[in-house]
Amino acid sequence: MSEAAGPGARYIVPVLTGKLARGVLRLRKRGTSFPGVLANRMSPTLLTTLIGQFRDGLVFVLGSNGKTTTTHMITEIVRAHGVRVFTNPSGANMPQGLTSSLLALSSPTGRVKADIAILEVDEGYSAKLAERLSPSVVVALNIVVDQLYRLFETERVADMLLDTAKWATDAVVVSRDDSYLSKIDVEAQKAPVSFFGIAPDVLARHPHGVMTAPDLRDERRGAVAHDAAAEVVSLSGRSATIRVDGRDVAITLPVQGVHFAADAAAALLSAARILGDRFDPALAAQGFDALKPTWGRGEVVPLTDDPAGERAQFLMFKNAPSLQLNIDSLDHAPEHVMLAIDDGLPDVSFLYDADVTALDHVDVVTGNKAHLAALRFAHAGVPVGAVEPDMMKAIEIMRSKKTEKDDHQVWFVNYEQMMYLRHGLGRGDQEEELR
Amino acid sequence: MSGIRITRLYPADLDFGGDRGNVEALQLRARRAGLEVDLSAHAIGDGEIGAADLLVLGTGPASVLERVLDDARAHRDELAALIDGGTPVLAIGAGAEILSESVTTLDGIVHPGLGLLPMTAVRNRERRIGYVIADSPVGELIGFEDHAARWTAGAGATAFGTVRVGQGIVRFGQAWSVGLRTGDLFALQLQGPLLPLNPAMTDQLLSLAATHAGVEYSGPHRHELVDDYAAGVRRQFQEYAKGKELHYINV
Repeated sequence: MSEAAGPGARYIVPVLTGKLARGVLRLRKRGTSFPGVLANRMSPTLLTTLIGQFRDGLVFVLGSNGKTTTTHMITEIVRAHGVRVFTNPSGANMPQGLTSSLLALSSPTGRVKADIAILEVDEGYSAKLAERLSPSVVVALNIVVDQLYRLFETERVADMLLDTAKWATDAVVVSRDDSYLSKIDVEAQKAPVSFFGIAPDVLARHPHGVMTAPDLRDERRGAVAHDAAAEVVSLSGRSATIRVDGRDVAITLPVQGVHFAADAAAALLSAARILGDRFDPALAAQGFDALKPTWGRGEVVPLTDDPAGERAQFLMFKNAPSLQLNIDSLDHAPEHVMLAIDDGLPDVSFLYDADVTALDHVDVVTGNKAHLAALRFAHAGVPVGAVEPDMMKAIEIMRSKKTEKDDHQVWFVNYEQMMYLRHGLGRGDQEEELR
Repeated sequence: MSGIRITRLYPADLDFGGDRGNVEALQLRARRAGLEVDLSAHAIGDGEIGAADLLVLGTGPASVLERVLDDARAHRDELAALIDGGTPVLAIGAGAEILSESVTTLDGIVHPGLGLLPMTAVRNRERRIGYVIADSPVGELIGFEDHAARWTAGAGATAFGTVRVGQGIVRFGQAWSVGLRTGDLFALQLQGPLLPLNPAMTDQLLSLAATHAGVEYSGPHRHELVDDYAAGVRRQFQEYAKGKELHYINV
């Protein structure tokens, strides 16, 4: 980054143009990355300058699954230590969207009131962005078989993450339970590498583990052993104890599940590396208490105006591992369950790669890929109550259920269906909730 | 109760694109028709493949091609004998390329295949992705294509799955196809997975397998729910065909 870089008068035109474009689009209720495209085109150094101003650096959170959740966890832990954080909404994890969300908060000269930027970054863009922006900390969560139509080969994704890590200046945080990431060349990194993981006895209680993709280009298909600087040493429901650099941190997870515990270990370790001596386990645990389930990821949403009425927990999936881990996080087959899936996931062949037999039935499948989902359940011998592609009708069916034994219904949703269903239930959009 | 023997080749390596769904569809339909399925697998380093009434190969990433080919070459004669003996084969994507005459990878290296399928494959950078509707002798096939390769059919191969909506991987004259057939070997580049979405194709393979096993497959017949759901999927694909933007996915 050049010494001359810094917010200032020369950015007033691109920043204000971007802000104006954003305002117009929002009036028309269209959130897009177009303002970012426009401002970046007017000033190619804008993003570098906007990002370069944070005293405590820049954190990249990468991985196939759990980026949004982990980014929120790190953010809340760091905030609990009194540090001001800029973070991006999950829909804005590519360069143009990132610029758009920075523009929203910046002064006309491009100043953003924050000490650190903690960003989730799409793996397809992360290496190029890291080269431009020199992150201080790179966090790599996991690599699973994901969106091959877009990302092609899984090992390509692994290389994209590992290439990004090389640009980190202060710390690299990676999973030791991941087949690919555990093989990171520690010596080749600029920054020291720290590993996080799940203790073997905790992991052994989960039927499908953490669903890491097998490393098909290596004789060692699984992960290679490392000591973990942050390890999930106990896990029961939402209560977890994570040992960070030898000190136990007892936390309450926002949502149950071994994948959320892994994300929490990654977040605590990242915060410990960001904060150094300032890291305080008690404050870190407070950070988790402040954490609400991230939008659509474990969030419990009321289905009626009646406070004692039906409620549904959204569990989001986009690939076989995220579907599997969310199914595995349930203590028992849910009393009432829906699955919503649509064209947001073009190739849904992966549905057959998840073991869905822990469900004893599904009340409704919805979305325009409802029949595809029903077909998968039929092959697994899981009965489906109704195939209802129309979302509003599906909501009506689920509203009419009476959940008695469970606390709430369970809705498995892909990202787009989560957005539509939340909207259908009268909930706000994500940007309005951006803090 | 009589049965059929299905052998999956390299399931740990060729397991992308929901390939196990194809096996589940075969098992489900066979079971409902009163046929037992003896399912086995051959992995890299295993001994003899053994007798089979149906061989199934799925697709996998570029990185496994060489290692799978190394093992497959050691079992080439066994596979040739099975195919000569009338065992039908379903091979998807990379699984089909392994059986072919050669696969040229992006680095220009030509990997000799097993030569059991009159076809050559050339990997390229022009990825074709999207929903497919294709016409075949067993009726309309639907599915999802996702590949960066062209196949060229040799003598003795005929088109299987001429593209009506979508792009395809192999050209016969002016028409693109999602696959080809030689004898009872079906080589397709179609996911979804293929067999759950296309019950007629599953019935075709089970009929051939049953004939090979000397048992009766009382299909094709209607399987409630499964066929209804598959018909619902087919209706959705017709909707895709009407909208332009969904034929191709930009990446």
